[in-house]
Amino acid sequence: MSKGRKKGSQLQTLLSLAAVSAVLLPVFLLSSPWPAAARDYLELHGVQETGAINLVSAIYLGYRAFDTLGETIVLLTAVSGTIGILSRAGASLAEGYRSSEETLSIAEASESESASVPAAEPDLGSDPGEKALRTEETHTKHRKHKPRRLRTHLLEVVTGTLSPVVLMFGFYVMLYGHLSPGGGFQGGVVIASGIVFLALGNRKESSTKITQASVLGRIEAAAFLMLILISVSGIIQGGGFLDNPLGESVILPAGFIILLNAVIGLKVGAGIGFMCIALLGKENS
Amino acid sequence: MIERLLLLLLFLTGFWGILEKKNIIKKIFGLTLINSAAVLLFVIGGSETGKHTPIMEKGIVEIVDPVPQALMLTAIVIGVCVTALALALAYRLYKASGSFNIDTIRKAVHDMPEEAEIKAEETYREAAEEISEEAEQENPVKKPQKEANNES
Amino acid sequence: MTIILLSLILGLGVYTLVSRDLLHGIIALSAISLLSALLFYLLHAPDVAITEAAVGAGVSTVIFVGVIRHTDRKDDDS
Repeated sequence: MSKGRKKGSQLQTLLSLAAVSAVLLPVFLLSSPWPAAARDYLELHGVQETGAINLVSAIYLGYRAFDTLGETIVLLTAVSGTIGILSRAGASLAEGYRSSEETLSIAEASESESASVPAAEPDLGSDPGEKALRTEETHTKHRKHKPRRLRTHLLEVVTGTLSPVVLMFGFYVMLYGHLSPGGGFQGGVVIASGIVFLALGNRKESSTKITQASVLGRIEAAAFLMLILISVSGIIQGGGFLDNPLGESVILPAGFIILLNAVIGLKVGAGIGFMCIALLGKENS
Repeated sequence: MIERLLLLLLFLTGFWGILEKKNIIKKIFGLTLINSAAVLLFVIGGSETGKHTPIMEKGIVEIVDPVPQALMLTAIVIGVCVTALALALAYRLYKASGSFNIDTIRKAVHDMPEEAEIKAEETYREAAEEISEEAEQENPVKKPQKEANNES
Repeated sequence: MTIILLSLILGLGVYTLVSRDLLHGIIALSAISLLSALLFYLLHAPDVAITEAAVGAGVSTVIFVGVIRHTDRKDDDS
């Protein structure tokens, strides 16, 4: 019976693959030439209208800035969803699994209970990853394999030394996005990598606070608030939503784009770094 | 033409992974592959129109279309967010059932009646509160053992 | 050149899905990202290349490894 069912499911898979390829084949094998109207317009007028030499920055912060605002909202939702799910992980659902297993020693169970119940509270200040990890440790213990040690001496030395360089490069990419390849999103993900490096290579006695989840959450929230304020400031000046409030400046024609780049870069970097650190859990254990 | 065909195959590979693989992490791999295929398709399409990078320094003409690049830029960042969200969900399911295999997970979730779940959560909170109280009285282990015995 | 890179990406993509060890799949995934970044650079899209390199090789790998390390590394079926 199980063999027949397996065959049936394989047939279903094949049929759905065929259906998907039938839908997608015209999309992928479209032979009509790529429309060049937008390209021609941007080539002629893009630099004068926005002041940014890098046309990609000019598009996503000038012509399509509203779209970018929507993307940052998606980012915010994804980050808060991830943190919410992770901070609840190991609470009620895990209990059902745990009670069905007899091998778990009771002392460990009580320990993990006391660890994971406070995590259910929506508390931004506390670190959800730490609690999830502690609950998780008891789990892995009774599954007879310990979590492998990620922090080796080599990793510590390399990431700890490299992280300031990576952060510096991230800020460079972020702030020079109007002139060279780069911008808020690109610089933001590089900054997030730098933050993860810092968290991996961080020794206990180091004094930086940027790898703490609460600090990153606050940075992200502040950056989002600033983004909204900047968008609204155009209305106060008598323009539209996301209009340039700075006006045409002779010294710095792309001033508004630089401002948006910095704010979006901070938001993306803090958000993705926050998510990574929450998923990694606390390393010092 | 061959490029487009290869991209279609990449897309279908990812789709097959989502459909056929039992492991949730493999399904997330499939999602990532589909994302890469879409991004590559747009960038390859946009690069057909010109010969130069869209950075307008002096004397640059015939640039490639910058619009799909700007769109794909945000798509990549949103893609990694979606991956992280999916991973968090998978982690939570692992916590609940002890496996990444969807059959095991389905069995574990089905075998868990809702009332028992709610009851378990209640006892669990009570036990945790008592533990935290007793921790101050320096007698942390004895009572929870009783609790857990009653529960089972 | 595009075709060679795309074939490599396709091969690595298949390997990602059929490998028994999830860690090998993750490494193959980050290799896919690096090859894509190279391809974006060749296709005159340096902005996308920077993003893909940072995301694929850095962030994405870190979150996958973080989850795998806390849980199960082997894929039992397949």
